[in-house]
Amino acid sequence: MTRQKTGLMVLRVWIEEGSTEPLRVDIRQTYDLSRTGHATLTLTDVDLVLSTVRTFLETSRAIGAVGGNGHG
Amino acid sequence: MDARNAPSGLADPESSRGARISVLGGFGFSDGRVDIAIAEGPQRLLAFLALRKRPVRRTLAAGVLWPDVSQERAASSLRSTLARLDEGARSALAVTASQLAIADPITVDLWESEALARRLAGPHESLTIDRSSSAEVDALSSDILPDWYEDWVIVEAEAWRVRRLHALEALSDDLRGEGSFGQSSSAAQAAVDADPLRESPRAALMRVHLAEGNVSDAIREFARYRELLKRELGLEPTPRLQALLDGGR
Repeated sequence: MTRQKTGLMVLRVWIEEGSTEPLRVDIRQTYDLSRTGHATLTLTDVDLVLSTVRTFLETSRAIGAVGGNGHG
Repeated sequence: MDARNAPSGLADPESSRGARISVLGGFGFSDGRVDIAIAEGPQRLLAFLALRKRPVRRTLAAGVLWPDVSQERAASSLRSTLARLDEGARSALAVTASQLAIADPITVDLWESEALARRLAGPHESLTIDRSSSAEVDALSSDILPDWYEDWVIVEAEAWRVRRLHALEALSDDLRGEGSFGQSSSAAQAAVDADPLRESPRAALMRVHLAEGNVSDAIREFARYRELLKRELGLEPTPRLQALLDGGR
């Protein structure tokens, strides 16, 4: 049986009051929880966050569509 | 931690003498005298229950720990893990027909650190800190199971990081107010390490330097943060942080 991959994306959000760009979004993501390691980044722009979430979901779907050929 | 030196802000010294599960900084199990090696399967089960902090239905534990197989297969894997427990792991578990939990006399480092964090986050006039020991800072300085990459660990670890960060800032402020600048600085630095891009831990660290009269250290800390923020996010620190520095000169 082919193992089903599980991805995970965690968004941690806080506000730096007084900053010109107060939004902070710390993103931690992996496309396969069975593998060690994960990518992290911090963003300050809502559109960039949305774009990152979209890319994550589309990549997850693409990985699934090709039968789960490795992606970390 | 040596029970004789357990600070009153942290664990009950009596509880430190018994068996103990550690999930902060990595997994560990001790019978109170020596560390005991636990196989990977039982480690995951004990860690899961330690993070849940309360009794868990067996079906839930099986589903979370074996997410990629059928419910029947997951239940079978759980039964198999329970059947193969060595004596140390078995003593740490309370098992009924429907539920699993960490056995009553067992202490968990995370539970104690969370209790400390809760006390620091609220009004805590009665909290006494042992200024000769770094136990409080140490208890708040580690992430949950940093090398584990399972969803039930990562989500809890992220939440704990935020709680400990706030607690470290509160601890730093308390210690600074009492003139314990070394410990105050350690607490603030641990908060900075937990989240280098967040401004409030930097402010806490700068306040310690300024309270000590070390203006140059505060300026250096501000410059380090400014450089990091510029490099990572293309931003400047807030005017409030700048004002903190200006007020101290």
